[in-house]
Amino acid sequence: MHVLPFALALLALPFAGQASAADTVGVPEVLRHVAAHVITATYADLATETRALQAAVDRLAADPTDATLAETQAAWRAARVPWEQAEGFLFGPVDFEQFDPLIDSWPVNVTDLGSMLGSDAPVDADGLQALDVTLQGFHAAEYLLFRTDSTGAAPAFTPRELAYLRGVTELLARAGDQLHRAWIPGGGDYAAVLAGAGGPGNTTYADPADALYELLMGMLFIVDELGNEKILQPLTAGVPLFVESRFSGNSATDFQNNLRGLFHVYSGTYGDVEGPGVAALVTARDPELDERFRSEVDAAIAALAAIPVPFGEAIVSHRDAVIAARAAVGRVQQTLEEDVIPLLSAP
Amino acid sequence: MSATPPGSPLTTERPASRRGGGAGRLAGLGALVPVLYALVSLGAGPPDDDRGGGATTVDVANSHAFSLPAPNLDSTALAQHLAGDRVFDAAFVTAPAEVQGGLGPRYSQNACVSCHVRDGRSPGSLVLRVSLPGEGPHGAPVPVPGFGTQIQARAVFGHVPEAQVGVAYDERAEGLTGEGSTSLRVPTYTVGAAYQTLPPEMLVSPRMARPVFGLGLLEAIPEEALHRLAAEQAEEGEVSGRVNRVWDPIERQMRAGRFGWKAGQASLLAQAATAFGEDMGLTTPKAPGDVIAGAPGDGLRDDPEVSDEALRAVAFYTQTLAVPARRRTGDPAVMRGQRLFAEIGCAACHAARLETGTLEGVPAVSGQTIAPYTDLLLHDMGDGLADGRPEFAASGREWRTPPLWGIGLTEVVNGRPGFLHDGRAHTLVEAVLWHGGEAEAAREAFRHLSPEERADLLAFLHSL
Repeated sequence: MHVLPFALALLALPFAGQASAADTVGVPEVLRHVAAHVITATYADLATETRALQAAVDRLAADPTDATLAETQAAWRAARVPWEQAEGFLFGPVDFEQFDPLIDSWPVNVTDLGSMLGSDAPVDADGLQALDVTLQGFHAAEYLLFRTDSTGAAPAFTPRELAYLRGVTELLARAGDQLHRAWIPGGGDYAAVLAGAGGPGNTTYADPADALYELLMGMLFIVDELGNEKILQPLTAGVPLFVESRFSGNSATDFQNNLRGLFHVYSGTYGDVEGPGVAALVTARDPELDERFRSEVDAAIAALAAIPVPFGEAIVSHRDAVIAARAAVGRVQQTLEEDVIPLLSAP
Repeated sequence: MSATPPGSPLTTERPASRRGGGAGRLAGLGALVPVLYALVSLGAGPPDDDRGGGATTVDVANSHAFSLPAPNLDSTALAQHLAGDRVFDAAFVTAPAEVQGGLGPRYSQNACVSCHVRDGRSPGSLVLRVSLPGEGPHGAPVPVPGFGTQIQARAVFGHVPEAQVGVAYDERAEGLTGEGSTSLRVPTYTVGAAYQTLPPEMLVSPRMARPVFGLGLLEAIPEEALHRLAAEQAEEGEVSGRVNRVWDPIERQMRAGRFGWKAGQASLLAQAATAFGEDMGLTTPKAPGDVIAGAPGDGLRDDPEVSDEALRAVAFYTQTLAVPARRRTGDPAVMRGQRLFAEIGCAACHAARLETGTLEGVPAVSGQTIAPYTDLLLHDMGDGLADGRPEFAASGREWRTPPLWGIGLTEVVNGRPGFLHDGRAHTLVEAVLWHGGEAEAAREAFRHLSPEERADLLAFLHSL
């Protein structure tokens, strides 16, 4: 909703050929860098980490001990990192080929999952692939990996549970790999579509401004969803039932990674690679705004990290910390809406 | 607020859970809304022709193009829209469940958004409508015993899917003046693995989901206007559109049909209730039974699985999604293409200018001048597209003219999901070449355009 006024402003003053004299880099350079070195690189890490999770599950299945379970849980959390960061740019193949529901459906269909485990239906990758996406993905794996009994201990796995985990993580790794391929040359090469916005024959983005606006709206949507949906809705309801990643208690980490994903697009920095992100356009026009926005993103990540207990508990026991984090996320959104996007809409 | 007990209907009051990474939802609202309206009303306002949704138009040409709320909603309407958005996005699971139970027992998809991806299209949304020859009450298609009027190819655990749908394609070459030829995919559908015997006389009609934006505007077009359009077409003799007459299960009366590929639904509320029931196996107060024409239900006493409030919120959501503005309307190629679109007869059915009347409860879509590029009428489209399955007054050769607004943004929103009622056309050129019947003259004119003219016409379509 909030984005609409900027949409009007942006269309009135298109970016193409309107680069300010102060700009040291142009929109096409930002698109090229972000497409290749932020978005595609994040999906490369998703492919790597989901494969590592699959390997960890294989080791767990071969030798189910507390140690291999802890390693597998760590691998699950590690694979969440690039995925939650990728939520900062949810457009393109992740939607076209329906990877998002395959990877991250919520809630888990626990009734059918229980029935499947109690039956003799096939639970290898081929068998699970035929099932609804709410029986697949990160959260189905999470449900099995992070169960506790009434004493807080992890119950022993049955052979079928281990087989299910192997199937579900194999499919997850496959999806991670396919999503990565959809962005690289030799695969779908969607990076070239985004980077080549406005070029001859580009029927997806007729203008570089459209593609830049895609990045900006991607940032705005994730910060809006984080503040007003993922945090606010459970906070308002006061029950952990509605908290994503509640089985693992990973929610606040997921949330921080949403902001990091947004920030990678903004800063142009991912891993060890630096280059022109949206910030390059902002800095040239208003360096103080750039500094303020960076500090607000840092503050929001810090506020989420400062929530002392798992998010599902914090909405009951540490509401002040959650409210503070939500306010910090709200400031990031407000600056994006009121300052960053309007600034880039002006010639 | 307290948690809703497990197994009770989904209401919009409780936070619906997310499906996938939460694409396309704007949850926030409040203080900025008045500012927004000020800005919208101050908008310099490009020519009317750009703004096909009237005051509901937005200037967004990226993946969000079909997913934004109309900018002229007041804060109450916006809250209702966003509540509907959550239900539209919600993935349903097998009952009993802590949240969003009730899926199935047999179903086609688990969420509205699973077919209407980003409020648009998806190749995975294909379903097969079925019926027996003849007419049921009010002229409705006759349900197939044990299958109803749609094949449910999936089922929750412990239930058997009704059947599996297969499709095979043959290729057929079509000439294009100056460009050699292009190939059309000719589909053949098969139904296999049926859980009980299929009657050999069963009629089938494949259907792909359509984008859901701008629908409130179409609902707000007065019924008289549709009859007037049909009368004008009869007089001019170029095409001969007809108004479908369908049973509205909500109002319990016969009304003009306007939604769906054969205009088989009169209202968005009826459309939403049907979709919950037929596509997801979710009971609503408007369609309370899980039992479809003799097939076994879920055996739970939990109906309705979706509350009246949630159902109405979803209908309102589809009534109030913004229409994306046209782009590049001053481009000479686009302008030449627009003239050709009218000259060769496309605009006879794909009507470029309509006026909405008053839609009760939705002032945002009332009193607008719109450019949906549809007349909402049924037209004989020839043997190539015929499904042979009547739906109320629509014959087995008739289809409703689909709106073309936003069609140029299909690729950025949905990739390449395919066009026409079953997605058989990879491209707009293929889609045009499938036209027959009343559109045969226009199709032949398109075929014989010079390559430059054809490029202009496509430039116009891509500007929509």
